[in-house]
Amino acid sequence: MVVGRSVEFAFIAYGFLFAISLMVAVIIKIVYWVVHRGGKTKPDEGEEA
Amino acid sequence: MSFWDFFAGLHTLFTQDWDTSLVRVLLIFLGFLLIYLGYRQTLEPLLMIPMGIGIIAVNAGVLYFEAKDATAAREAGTLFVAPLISDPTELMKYLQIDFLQPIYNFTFSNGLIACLVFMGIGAITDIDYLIAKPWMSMVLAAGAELGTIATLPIAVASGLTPREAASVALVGGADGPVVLFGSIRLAPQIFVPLSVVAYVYLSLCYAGYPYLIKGLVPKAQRGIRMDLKDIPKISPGEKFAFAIIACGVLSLLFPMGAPLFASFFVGVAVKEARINRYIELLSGPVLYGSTFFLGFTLGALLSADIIMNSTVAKLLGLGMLALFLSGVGGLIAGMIWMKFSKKPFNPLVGIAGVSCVPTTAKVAQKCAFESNKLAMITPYAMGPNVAGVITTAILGSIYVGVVPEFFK
Repeated sequence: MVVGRSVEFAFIAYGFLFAISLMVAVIIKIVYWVVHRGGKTKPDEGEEA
Repeated sequence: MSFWDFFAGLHTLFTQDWDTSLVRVLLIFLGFLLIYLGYRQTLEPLLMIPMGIGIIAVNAGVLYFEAKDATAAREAGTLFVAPLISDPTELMKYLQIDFLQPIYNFTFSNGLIACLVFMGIGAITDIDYLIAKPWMSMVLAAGAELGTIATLPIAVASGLTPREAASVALVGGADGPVVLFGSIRLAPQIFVPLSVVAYVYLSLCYAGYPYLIKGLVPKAQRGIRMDLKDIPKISPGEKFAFAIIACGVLSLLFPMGAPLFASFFVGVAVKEARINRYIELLSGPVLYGSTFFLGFTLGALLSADIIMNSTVAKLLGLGMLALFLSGVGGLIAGMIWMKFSKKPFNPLVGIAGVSCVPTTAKVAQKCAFESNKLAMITPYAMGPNVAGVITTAILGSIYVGVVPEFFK
């Protein structure tokens, strides 16, 4: 019974982890997009012109 | 007053149960072994030397305390630390007797030491490659959590409670502070042996993973060269903005892991904001101070009475299984990514998703280099390596927050 629940939990957790991982990747892409849009008018220090 | 009162450590060795004495002697030898392997740089010396000295001293230095009254028997103990005290009066007594008790109560039992290590890791971690290749990094890191996921039901099937199983499964994330943070909240009764097992095994990753790589990945694939020009340059502003936003979003989603996220990303933010005095503080005294006390206190916690627990043998096996499965998961994810990648992709990058920063990235590079002297994969491997810290912290907070409710 508990083993069955733990297998169910493992599947849910892994699916959830992949979903959150993709969400973090989306955040990174959004930040990249926002910073680069801003960067066109005011280049960030350390960034190549 | 007898002759033996001058040599209390020896006296207790001969008057305790023979099995306790035997375990004490074995642990003393284990301490010597860890120190030797640390000294030879086979295992991580920063942890192993203080840990080994702690193990030797706590198992050698057992003495009998005075009996409370004429009828009570004398009690064996040490002057190091008593980890399982919950009664406040007893705790106040031990805070004044055991020299590591303040360190344990004020930094271990609330997870502070894990957070301090995370601050230091954040301050020295380069997240360029994670930001440059976010999809690849996050997917491979999630793949390399296979051991953290699959070990949980296996551990439950082996007889551990769901809380203990979740704690030991976290070893698969290969992130010592998260194991510490999770196990102390989920299963404090196994926290000490589990943390020691985790840190010893993490040091062994460097020795064991090359065999796993050679067993699973054909030589031709191990030597695939990757195009380094494909990695875009990332500005400090991007990294800083990502650290702040990711910290806020992840803390909002996983409040149980918020201390870990805050600690890691404050380190990253300080680094990217180029606040040099804070960078020096976090990457020097905070990181190495906490690593030193982590190793020394864990060693001092590993006394015979803690190790003489039937679950310890299971923890040894399950911890190794978790790290093995995570390595396999990372390599499988790397091979799948290689299959669908339009550009040449070395599947060894996948094992770097096991977040033992930077050990697994170094292992991946070493194995690639052995197959092809021109195969440079470290920049790509650092992406999933850093992403692995984030995925392990996410899983740690899911386990701490959800497991007690799910298995009610």
